[in-house]
Amino acid sequence: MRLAQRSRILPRVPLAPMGDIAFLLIIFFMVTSVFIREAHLEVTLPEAAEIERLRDAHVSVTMDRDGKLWLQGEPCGVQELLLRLDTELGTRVDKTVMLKIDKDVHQASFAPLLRILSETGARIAWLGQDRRY
Amino acid sequence: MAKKKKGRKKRGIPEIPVNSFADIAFLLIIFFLVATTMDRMTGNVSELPKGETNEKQQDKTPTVQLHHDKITFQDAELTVSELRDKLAELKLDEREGDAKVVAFEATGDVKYQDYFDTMCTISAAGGVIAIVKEDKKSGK
Repeated sequence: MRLAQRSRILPRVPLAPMGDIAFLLIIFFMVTSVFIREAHLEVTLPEAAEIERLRDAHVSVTMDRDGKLWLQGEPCGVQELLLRLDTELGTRVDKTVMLKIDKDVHQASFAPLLRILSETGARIAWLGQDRRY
Repeated sequence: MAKKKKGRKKRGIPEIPVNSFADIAFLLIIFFLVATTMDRMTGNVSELPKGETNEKQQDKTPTVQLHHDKITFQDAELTVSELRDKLAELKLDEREGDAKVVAFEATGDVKYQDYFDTMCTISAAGGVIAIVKEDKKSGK
């Protein structure tokens, strides 16, 4: 007796929903991501035991190991900092400035920066690392 | 001669090619993965008041001084942990207004590491930091 051959369905990986999944992932990353503005700057943050978690701020001021100032990842002079900071903070509701200073910078270098920051009336988020980790 | 029948051209339904969508989407994901930082920000938040303090206020205010890597509190040399204990004794977190203020003074040769560490200790004790400007003290 001849048995009828079963029609064979070739197994296929369903690729159609892959695009949907990928776009959902993109939307997730777009909503949650913060772009690195200062990846090119090498700053070693200081450590402390009593440290808290901070919310991300939109304005950042950095002083690297050589004492160079950077505003929003771009070089900035001490004289122009106050004016540029006023422009950056002017339209924002959150007047917090993220302050990154290299741990080896001396007070004589960063004191003028603190003076300028105090004149803006901004809240300062002093960035550092948790010593416990 | 047989008449050649003009065959109708098969018209396909126009379709947007969606096969490459997934590839584009995954490329975008890779871009976001590379360009995104997942770091949690840690540190200390405070305000830098630009107000002036008079001599009377300065006399009352507890003062922390940093000279090179030495911490002085009320004219006594301390370590960071000793400073923590001394500040805890003052119960700054229970105080209000100007009574919470701790004057913080540092010389030009102090490294930011020591400055930050001391500042965080004062903040954690509930103190409000008032940075004393060096030029003011020297009368310049």
